[in-house]
Amino acid sequence: MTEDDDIEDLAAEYVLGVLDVTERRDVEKRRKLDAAFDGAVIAWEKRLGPLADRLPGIEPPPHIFDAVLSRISSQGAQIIPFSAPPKRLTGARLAIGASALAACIALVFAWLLYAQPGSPGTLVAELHRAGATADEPTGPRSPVFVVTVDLKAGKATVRPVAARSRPGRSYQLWVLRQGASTPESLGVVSQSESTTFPFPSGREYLDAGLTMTLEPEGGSPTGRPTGPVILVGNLAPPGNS
Amino acid sequence: MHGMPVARQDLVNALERIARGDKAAFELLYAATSVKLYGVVVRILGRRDLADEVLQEVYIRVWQRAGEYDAATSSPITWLATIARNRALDEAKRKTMRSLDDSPEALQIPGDDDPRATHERNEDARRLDACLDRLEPEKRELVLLVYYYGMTREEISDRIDRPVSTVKTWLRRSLAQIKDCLGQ
Repeated sequence: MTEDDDIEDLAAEYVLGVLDVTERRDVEKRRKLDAAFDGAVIAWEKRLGPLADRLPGIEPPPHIFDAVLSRISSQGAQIIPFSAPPKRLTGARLAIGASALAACIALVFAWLLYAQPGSPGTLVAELHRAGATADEPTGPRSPVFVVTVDLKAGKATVRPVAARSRPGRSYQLWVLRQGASTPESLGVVSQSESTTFPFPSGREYLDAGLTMTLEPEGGSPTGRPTGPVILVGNLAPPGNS
Repeated sequence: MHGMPVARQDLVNALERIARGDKAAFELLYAATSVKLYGVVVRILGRRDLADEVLQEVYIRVWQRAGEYDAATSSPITWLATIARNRALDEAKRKTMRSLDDSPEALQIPGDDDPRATHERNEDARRLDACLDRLEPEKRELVLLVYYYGMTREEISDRIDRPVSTVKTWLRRSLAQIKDCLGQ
């Protein structure tokens, strides 16, 4: 199967709606990194779009529009939590409550990582083939590289597990922090031995997405990904990845 | 007033005005499209309480992002339905506790002769229908079940008593056939 076929299958499955939550997150990250893939998704949205239009509608409850208006009016911030707090919290209390809650969660998460006795301050990501799903018999969800981040030392180590040699091309690792739309390069990775890079500090990297692209030998000439995204993974505390 | 037919150009104009913060245009858009979008999210989520929340999120997102709509790329209803489907699918897949048996009557694929289906029979829709009709009936049904109800491979596998790998292969082949047939 060629790279183009992979892109087409994955884009079509995403738009059709058959992917699970992890696969959907991988796709959404990849769309930001890979213009060809994003284009394939848009083309599938256009192809299948007429299907949504043949559904008979269902009348929504009458209070919905007022609820939308009050939430819009009360938005000081542009950030709307998707899983909204209970409806009785309205107005500024909603926005304040939601951001305070998010800050608390982030603090607790950071505390768990940095301060919990016995916590090594380590994050791990297994990079697997982009678009691979758990049910494939050959197990392509198994890791190709394992990335270990030592938060105290500010270092990331990339260990090849099942990486193929790619003559004339280089593997390059990118990190996409929470909320960012463009990835940052961590560096070019060896396919035969462990490679270590400095890893940026900051809470927004604690659950960052990682992607591996295939670039011209020596790495991307532009500082942005130019080659296909072939591997993806998410940083998480060990055992949660 | 809900679900009243509104011309495509009226929706395009409404989105332009919403991008400039026009709440009257937003109300018009809501009145013209919320019945359609609620139908989309209710089917995918299978639960009205979740659908109510997701529909609110969808329109808040429309309010925030109306400026990103590009009339050259898609019709307003396709753009809106894409936002609604993605929101609903994200929520449905995150929860994975929907029981399809809760509302078996909801699991029906609207037919071309369904009097409730008010879709415009435009050229794109006719071509897609023709391509779907060229699939084997069982596979056509699979494609539509996934699109309308966001069924996972596992749910389909249980429903049709075939392995998950077969479901995956059938869907991929059917989608490739649709693409070839549409020729785009």
